[in-house]
Amino acid sequence: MELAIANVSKKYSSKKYGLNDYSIRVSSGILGLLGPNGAGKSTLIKIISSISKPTTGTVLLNGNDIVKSPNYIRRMLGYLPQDFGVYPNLNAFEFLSYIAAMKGVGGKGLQERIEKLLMELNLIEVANKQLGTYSGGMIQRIGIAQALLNDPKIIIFDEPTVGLDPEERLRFRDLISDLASERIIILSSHIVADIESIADEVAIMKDGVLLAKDSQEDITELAAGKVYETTVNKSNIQNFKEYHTVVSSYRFQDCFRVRYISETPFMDSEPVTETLEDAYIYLTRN
Amino acid sequence: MLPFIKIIQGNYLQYVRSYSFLITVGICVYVALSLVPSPEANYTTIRLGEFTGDYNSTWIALVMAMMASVLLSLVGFFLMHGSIQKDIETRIGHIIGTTQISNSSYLFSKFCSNLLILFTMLCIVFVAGIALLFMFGNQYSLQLWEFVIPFVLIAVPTLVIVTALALVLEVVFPRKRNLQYGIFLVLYISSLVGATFEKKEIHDAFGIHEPMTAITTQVQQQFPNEDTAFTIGFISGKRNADKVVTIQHIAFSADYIWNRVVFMLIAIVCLFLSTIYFHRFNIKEKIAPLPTSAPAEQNKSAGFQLSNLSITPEFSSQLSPLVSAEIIMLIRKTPKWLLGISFCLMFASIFVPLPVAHHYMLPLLWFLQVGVWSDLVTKDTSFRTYYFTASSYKPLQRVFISRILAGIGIAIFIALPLLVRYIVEFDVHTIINIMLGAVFIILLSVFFGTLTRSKKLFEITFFFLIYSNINLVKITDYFGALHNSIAYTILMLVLSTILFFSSYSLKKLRYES
Repeated sequence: MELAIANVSKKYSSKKYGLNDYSIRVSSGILGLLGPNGAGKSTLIKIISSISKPTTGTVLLNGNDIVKSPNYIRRMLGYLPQDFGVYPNLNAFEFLSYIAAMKGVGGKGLQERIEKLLMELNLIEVANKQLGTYSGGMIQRIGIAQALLNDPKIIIFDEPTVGLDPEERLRFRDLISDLASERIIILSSHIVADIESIADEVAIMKDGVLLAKDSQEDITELAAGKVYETTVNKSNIQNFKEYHTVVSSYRFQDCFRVRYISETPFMDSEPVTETLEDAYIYLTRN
Repeated sequence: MLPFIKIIQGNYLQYVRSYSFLITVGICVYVALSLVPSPEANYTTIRLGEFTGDYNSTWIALVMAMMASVLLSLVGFFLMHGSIQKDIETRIGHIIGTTQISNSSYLFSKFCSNLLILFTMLCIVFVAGIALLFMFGNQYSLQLWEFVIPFVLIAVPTLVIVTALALVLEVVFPRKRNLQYGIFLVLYISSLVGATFEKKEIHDAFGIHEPMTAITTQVQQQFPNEDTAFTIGFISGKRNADKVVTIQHIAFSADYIWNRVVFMLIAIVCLFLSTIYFHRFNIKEKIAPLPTSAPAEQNKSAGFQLSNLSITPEFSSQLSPLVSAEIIMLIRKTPKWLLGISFCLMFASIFVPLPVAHHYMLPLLWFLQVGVWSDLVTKDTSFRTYYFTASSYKPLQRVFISRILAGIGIAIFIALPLLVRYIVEFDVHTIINIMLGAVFIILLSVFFGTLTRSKKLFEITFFFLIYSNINLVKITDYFGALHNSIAYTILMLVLSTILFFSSYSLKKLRYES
C-alpha cells in the first residue's frame, strides 16, 4: 500500500490556501498528523478521503489517481470524521447495515461482522436501541465501528479519542496498533500523547505546508539541546512567556516551574530530555 | 436594551447572510411582480365577477397588500418556523440556556428578528408594487400615502400574528413539527374561509374583509346589475379590458384599525404566555442505559480486539439494502399518530367516491408526508452525516438514487388504494398519471433540497400546491385529477425528467467541487 500526494494545493480564495504545494508519501503503518488549528489537516483528510478535490496536484493510491477515480479509494476506505452525526431513528444494527450498503459491502458475513464489531466496542447490549438515545461516547464508538465495517485498507481517524473514557482510549490505541499491519492509518489529533504512543511516523503541518515528516525519534531529535526547565518568579512569568517559547508551566511553591525551548538558555536553566511535544512546539512556533 | 438589540441583530444577520435567503429574495421579487398581472397576462389575482381594477396607486397597493397578507403569511410561517429548533440542533441552545437571558427576552428577540426578516420581504413587495405602477399605470401618479396605508394596516399585522404563532407553536409543541404544521394549516384555512365568507371581522386575521367589501361596494355602485363576487388568488383567465374599474381611495374604519391592533395584541400576549412553557433547551431525552456486563459467553473479549473480527464481508453494489434502509428511515421519521391518520385516510379512500379519493384525499395523504419528504436529500446536513455519504462508494449513483427510489416507493404505496380502484376500472392512463404525480412530487423535493440545501422551499411550495389542489386549480394539478390527456402525461414526464437531471447534475457538481 502506498499513498503519494504530490504538489497538492487547495485554494479557497485568491489569497487563502487550505494546502499549499503539499507533498507527502505514506506507506503501510501509522502516520500521526499534528498541527495547530487551521494548519490544513482537515483539508488534507478531506482530499484523501475523496470528499474534496484539490485545486492542483495529484493523489495516487497504489498508482491510481483517486482525484479522477475516487471510487478506487472509497471501496477500501474507513473514515472517522471529527464531527459527525448519526440517523437518530435507526438502531446500531440498522445504521451499520446502512453504512455497509453505502460502502458497497454485503454478503453473508456482514451481519456477523457487525455483531462482532458491536461486541468489541461494548455496544452489543444497546444495539437494538435507537441511536438518538446514545451518549456522546457511544456515538463515537459507533463511528469507529462504521470505519472498520468494510475491512478497510486505508483508515483515516480524525480526532478519534474524543468522548472516549481513559480506559477506552487505551484500548483504542491498542486497536490502532493491531490494525496497522498491511494498512495505511492516518491519525489526526491535537493530543500529542495519542500520537506519541503509537505512530510509526509523524507529519507536522502549519499554514497548509508540511513542516516535517519523519519517524518519531528523528522528529523529536530536532529539538535536542534546545529544551530547558527553569524556575521563574510569579511577577516575571508573563514577561518570560513573552520572550520565550514556553512548552508548559506549573506552579511550584511561590514560583513557576517552566519548560521552554531556546537556542540559548536563560540563566539557572537545566537542560531536559526532549519529547515529541517539544519538537512539535519548536517547529510550529518558530 | 443594547444586548437585546444585539441579539436581534445577530439573529437577523445570521439569516439574511445565508444562501437560502438569497434564493428567498429572488423568489419574493418574482412572486411580488406576479401579484399584479400585466394587461396581457393569462391570469388575475383579485377579481370581482369579471371586473378588475385599473393600475392606479390604490388598486395596486390594495392588491399587493391583500395578497401579501394571505401569501406572505403562509410563506412567513414556514420560513420563520424552526428558529428555536435550529438553536437546539446547533447546540447553541445549551449555551443560551446557561446565560442570564430570560425566557421572555429570548423569545421576544426571536420574535423581533423573525419579524424584521418578514418586513424585509414585505419591503421588497412594496418596492415591486411601485415599480409595477410605473410599468402599467403610467397615466397615474404615485400617491405614496395610498401605497403605504394598505401595507401597514393589512399586511403588517398579519405578519406580526404569523411570526408570533410560529414561535408559540414551537414553544408549546417542541419537536412535534407535523403537529405544528397541522395546527397552522387548520388556522390558516379557517381564517381564509372566515375572511372570505363570514361577515364578522373577528374571523378575519388577514384583514382583507373590509377592503374587500369596500372594493366590491365601489364596483357595485358603478355596475349595480353585474356579478361582483370577490375572488382572491391566482385565477386563470385574461383581464377583460371592457371591465376595468378605477378604484378610488378607501378609508379604513376605526373599527377595522382597532380590530387589527387587537389581533396583534392577542398574538403578542400569547407569545408572552408561552414563555411560561418554554423548555429553555432542557428537553427530556430518552437515554439508552449504559451496557452492563456482557453475558458470560459474549464476554470472552476484553473489547477492542480486532483478532475477533475474522469475518471479512463481501463486496456488494446492490441498491436494495440502501433503498430498504431509506424506507425504514422515512417510516420511522413519521410520528405514530400521523401514521395512524394516514392509514385511516388510505383505508377510507377505498370506499369514498372515486373523484373525492382522487381530487382531495390523495393530495392530502401525500401532504401529510411533507415533513418527511422535505428531508430526503437534506438529512445529511441536518444529521451531520455528510462525510459518510460523500466518502461512500459511488454516492451519486447509489445513495442519491436510493433516496429518490425510497421516496417514490412510499408515495406510490400511499396511493395504492386509489391505484387499485383504477386498476379495477382498467383506467391505465389515470394510473400512469398518478404514478407520475408521485415521481414528480418526490423529484420536486429532491430538486429544491439540492438547490437550496434546505427543506423550506419545498415545504412552502407543497403547502401552496395542496391549497390549490383542494381548490381544484387546474394548473397546479400534478397527479392527473383534473387532466386526462396524453399531452398532460408527456408534460409531467418531461418536467420530472428535467427535475431529475437538474438535481443529479447539481449534486454531481457539489460532490466534485
